[in-house]
Amino acid sequence: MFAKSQKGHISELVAYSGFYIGPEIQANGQINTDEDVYIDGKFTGEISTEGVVELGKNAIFGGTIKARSVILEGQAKAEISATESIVIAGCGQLIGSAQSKNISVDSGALLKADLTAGSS
Amino acid sequence: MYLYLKNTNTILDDATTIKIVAELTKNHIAAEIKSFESEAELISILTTISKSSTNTLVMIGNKQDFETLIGQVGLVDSDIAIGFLDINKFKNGPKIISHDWQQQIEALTHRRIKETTVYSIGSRYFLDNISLTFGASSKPKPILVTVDKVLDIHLPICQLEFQNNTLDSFQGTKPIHLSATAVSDNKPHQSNDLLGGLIRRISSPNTNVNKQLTSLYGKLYLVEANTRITDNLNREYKNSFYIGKTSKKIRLISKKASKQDE
Repeated sequence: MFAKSQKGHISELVAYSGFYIGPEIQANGQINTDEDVYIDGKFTGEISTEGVVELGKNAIFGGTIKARSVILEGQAKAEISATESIVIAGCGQLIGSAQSKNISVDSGALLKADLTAGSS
Repeated sequence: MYLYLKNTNTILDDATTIKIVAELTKNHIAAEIKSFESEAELISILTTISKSSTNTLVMIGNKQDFETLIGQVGLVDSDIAIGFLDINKFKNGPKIISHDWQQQIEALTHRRIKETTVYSIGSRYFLDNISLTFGASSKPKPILVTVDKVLDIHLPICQLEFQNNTLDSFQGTKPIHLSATAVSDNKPHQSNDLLGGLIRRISSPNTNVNKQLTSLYGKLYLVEANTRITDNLNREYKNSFYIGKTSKKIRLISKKASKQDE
């Protein structure tokens, strides 16, 4: 549904056919899907997917995320739960909590969150 | 018991018309051709058609004409089959009978039926896709699109395209794909304005034309805006209306019959 860049981020694309909310777009509510989700705007609510959730550099997110993997490059005030991995990029900011088998935090990321990593 | 419809605004030269009528006559499916000039006139014709006198209704014209008919298919009895004779497949001229054209005539003659579900947009219907554009307003408010009653999206003035997505894995739960695209100005979209679009792109390479704003899937959309809303056929809509999959099935004349996939 999204073609991936060499880095593996779905944000490298120009056009999207999955769930995508672009910069300067505001949305609120629930997203419940099997697809990858890319948020680069302002979103408040719940995201539940079996795919990857990527919050882009312009994203301002508030709410909960349940996904296979999460990549955070923007700002999130959220409870994030991923079955496989959570990556908080150097430009990312997280206030809240993150729980996953694998959590990586790049240098420069801003965290004020409870992190729970490893298989339960 | 065939009945043909033709939009008088769609140009069809006399030679092609004669050839079409000859082909229909040769295949014993020639019948009255009723002309209409506007959607209102088409509605007036459709309300007079009964299944006791017509079992096959055929639009002779281009794709836009066919979409206009589909738009008002709610006025047609479900037992009446809907067909389409695409005159663009005749563009090689009346002396050449293309394979596509032969297939169309064959399909009409044999009435190969494919049951298809239509999608509603306001009080109209569509089959494959439809796009909406929004006019300027002195006090513009964001366009609000509510998806499946659980997700609200606030959009600037843009172009929305809704696409039937039943072939995708989502077909059961989220059969309609929505794509919102930025526009550089608020001029209404003209379906044939390719040259205008090209000129705009060349003269203003950094405009937001075709920049994607959002993409998502749903089953039911509510669109609300305080500006004039028109579709790709320049038909107008109210300031608030629903778009969604319906339970209405229509019988389409197809090149080959197939059962409903859903």
